[in-house]
Amino acid sequence: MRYIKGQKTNDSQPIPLDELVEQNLSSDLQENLASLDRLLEGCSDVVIKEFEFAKEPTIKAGLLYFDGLVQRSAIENHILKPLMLEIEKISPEFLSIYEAQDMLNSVQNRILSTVDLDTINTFDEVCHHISSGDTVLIIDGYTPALVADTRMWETRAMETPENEIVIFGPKEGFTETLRINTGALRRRIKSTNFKIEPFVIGKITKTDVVLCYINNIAPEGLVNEVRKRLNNIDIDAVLDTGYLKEFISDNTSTMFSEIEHTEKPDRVCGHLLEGRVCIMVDGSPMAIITPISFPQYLISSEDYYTHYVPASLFRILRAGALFISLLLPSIYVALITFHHEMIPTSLYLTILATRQGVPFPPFLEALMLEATFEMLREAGIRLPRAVGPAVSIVGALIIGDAAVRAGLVSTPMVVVVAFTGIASFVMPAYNAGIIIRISRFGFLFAGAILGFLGIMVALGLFLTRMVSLTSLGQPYMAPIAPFNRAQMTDILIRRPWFKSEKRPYVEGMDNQIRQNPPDKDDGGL
Amino acid sequence: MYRISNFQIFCILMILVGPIAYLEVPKRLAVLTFNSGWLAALLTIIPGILIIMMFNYIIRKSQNPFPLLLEEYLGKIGGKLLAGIYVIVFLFIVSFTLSVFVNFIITNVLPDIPVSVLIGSFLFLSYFIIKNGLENLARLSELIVFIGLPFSFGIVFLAASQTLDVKNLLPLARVSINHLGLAVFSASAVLGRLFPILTIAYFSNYRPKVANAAYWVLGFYIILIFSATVVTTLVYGSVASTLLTFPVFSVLRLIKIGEFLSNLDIFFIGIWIAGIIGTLTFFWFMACFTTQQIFNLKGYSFLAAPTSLIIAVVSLLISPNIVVLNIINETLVVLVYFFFLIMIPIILFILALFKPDQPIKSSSDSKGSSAIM
Repeated sequence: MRYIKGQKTNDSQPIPLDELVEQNLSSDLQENLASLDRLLEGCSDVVIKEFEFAKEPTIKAGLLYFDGLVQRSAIENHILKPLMLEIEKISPEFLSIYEAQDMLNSVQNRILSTVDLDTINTFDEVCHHISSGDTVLIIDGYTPALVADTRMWETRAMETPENEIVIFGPKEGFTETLRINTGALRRRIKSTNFKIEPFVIGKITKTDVVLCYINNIAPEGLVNEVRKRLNNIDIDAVLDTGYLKEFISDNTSTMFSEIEHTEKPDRVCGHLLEGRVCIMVDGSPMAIITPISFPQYLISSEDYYTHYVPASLFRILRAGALFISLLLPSIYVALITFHHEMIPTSLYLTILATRQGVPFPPFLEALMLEATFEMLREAGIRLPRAVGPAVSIVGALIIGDAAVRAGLVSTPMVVVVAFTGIASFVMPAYNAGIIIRISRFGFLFAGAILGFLGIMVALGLFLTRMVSLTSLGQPYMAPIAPFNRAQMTDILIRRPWFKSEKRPYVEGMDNQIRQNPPDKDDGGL
Repeated sequence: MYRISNFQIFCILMILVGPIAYLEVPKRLAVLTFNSGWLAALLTIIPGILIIMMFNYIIRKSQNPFPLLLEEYLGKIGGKLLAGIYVIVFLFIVSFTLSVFVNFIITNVLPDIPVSVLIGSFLFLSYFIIKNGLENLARLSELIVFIGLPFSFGIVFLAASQTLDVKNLLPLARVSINHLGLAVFSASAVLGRLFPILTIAYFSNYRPKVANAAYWVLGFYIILIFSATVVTTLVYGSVASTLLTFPVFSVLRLIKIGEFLSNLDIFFIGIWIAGIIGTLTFFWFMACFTTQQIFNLKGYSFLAAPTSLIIAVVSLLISPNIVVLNIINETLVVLVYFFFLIMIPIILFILALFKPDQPIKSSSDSKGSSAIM
């Protein structure tokens, strides 16, 4: 080691790329371009344009951008045209008398006509900005370089999200472009307190990430904690918000989702106005919201756009569907296997008749059908749209019917599994539905082994795990456990807007007042 | 230190008192007072209030939670010795409760399931809860009470819609004072299960009002045993109620909903499991917590694993069958409950009467608080 350390460094040896990228730009254009050539070697989409502007003396400059990420007309009209043509309107004396920094200031403030213009110093910043669709202008003899926002690439229009279909309320969903998404939020919350903090995460991908919150509503401690967790992420790539989920969560060893995903800007705004924070990633149409509690998964954004009575009834319906989705197959298996005395005699005889000739025990029958159903569901999602529904229908109708006719499964079991499947689609939050789907198999095993007792033991384990979880320090089962009477009015029952004087409490929240109570003397018509 | 709300304390205490009240007390009252059990149930409110006042006084006068308060009143050695005995008592209560419950299930519901499988399942669940800490035990108690309490009243309501004979209550309130006294004593002894309030009150986020939680429990307890006793008497009459092992359970078997759904006992047991699991988990927690305090250990949750073996073995050995268990229940258990959960608190109460008032020590100063999480 000592020998190696003692070796003299060879000056002619090129600087390693990882060191070069950290270095500052020099004032020599050719040297800068040579270094960038090395850094961007093999990047066929990079465009480096050298040109001259001004007269006596002429000034050399270089322009860098990635083709496909920029709006070429913006470069031509707002950078090249002012520099190469309109600069002549400024007298040569004017340019020559300026010292280095003032020359840059002139170009930045008087010549270039782009709105978003900034200065950068290092090669790393150059690479990051051109990768983001910006255009970098390096002027010979001057540092720093100038960077202009010329981003423009093909984007998807804001469409109705396929996973969050609603009848009432806004239909638009996020796209893969971060700025469009933040714009959609800003359009809804026209307040200076609405903050969008930028982060760059991913050592290789350098992905733009934003943390959104409303300054005087979201608890400061919560925002600081999320900020800290985002800053601590040292991963090489972030391609979707899903990457960040595990870094933000309190409990990494649980399949229960402590973070809500949504593609709907109105849903995000609703959460922000209740003191939560949202994280969005460039390239992902999914926003993540935290902290979240499990009972909130029963809430759909359109509950707030419909009358509170049907909205509340729908929530109760969803809660029922949640239990059906979680427990129905296991209860059926437990009843058939252990507690058939509970089933009314006529019904039991009917079930027995349909089960005659079925070679499998109820548990195996349920397990096979559930597994088949899950496969069909996955296949329906992955297959091309034109084929997916057809496969689902073929699977559900033809295979199910054929299995019953062949005597492999009984009709009641098909009904139970189908009903369970329908109930599982009632949950508005897809990621909560996943937990329920997986847990259902656990309950099925428990019901098959110990009947209702097994189901209760499994339910005990399930609930114990749920109450032990937190989402950014907030109990996962709040406001049910720990019980909070005030907040319960917005879980199973949707409180009318005119009575929603307070926001649901988030730990550390100071500003809980949503509206002042209506003046009681007003109504004397 | 994690603080539990008084509502959570209410839920924990309700779980400790409720399931046993629901299943056993109506039978005891029927045996002692026949068709006047309802009167004994109502009169239980008086000793109930006194018991809660006693616990509340001890809490107010003590600087530390149980078991450290034993050292406060009895000296270090005496306190530690008694705390050690309490560990055995708590483990006995857990083992006995588990044994009764498992035998009940095997006798009534699942005769083919081996005892060891049932004991293993319940212990595993309780162990998992204890490992998650008091905070989660308190939250789980809320869920159990949300499900269990309406269900318990629902059962009584449904039972009341069955064939009832009001004549079964006649002659009204005709009972000897001795029997009535014994019945009230028997019903009040169950309230000894409020004993863990001496520990959990210390973790309340609002200690001055912690007694209110206990009074609410008493209120629900009285309503539960009153309604269950009245309904069983109305359905079966006084004599049949004394002959049935669990009259409430038998009433449940009579329930028919819409002439279609019947034999709902397994649902009842399913919900009842939650309560029983809560009971045995909390007494198990008390055993572990007391052990931790005696030996100044860093935590208590690691004690759950070794004690689970003791509980499993004792609950297997304690009962050859449910008849023997019932005999133990009517003799030894009543004495154990009465002595350790009521008599010793009475002694502590008397000692507290002569203890000078001291300012309430900040909960974070105590040893007991440091390891609760």
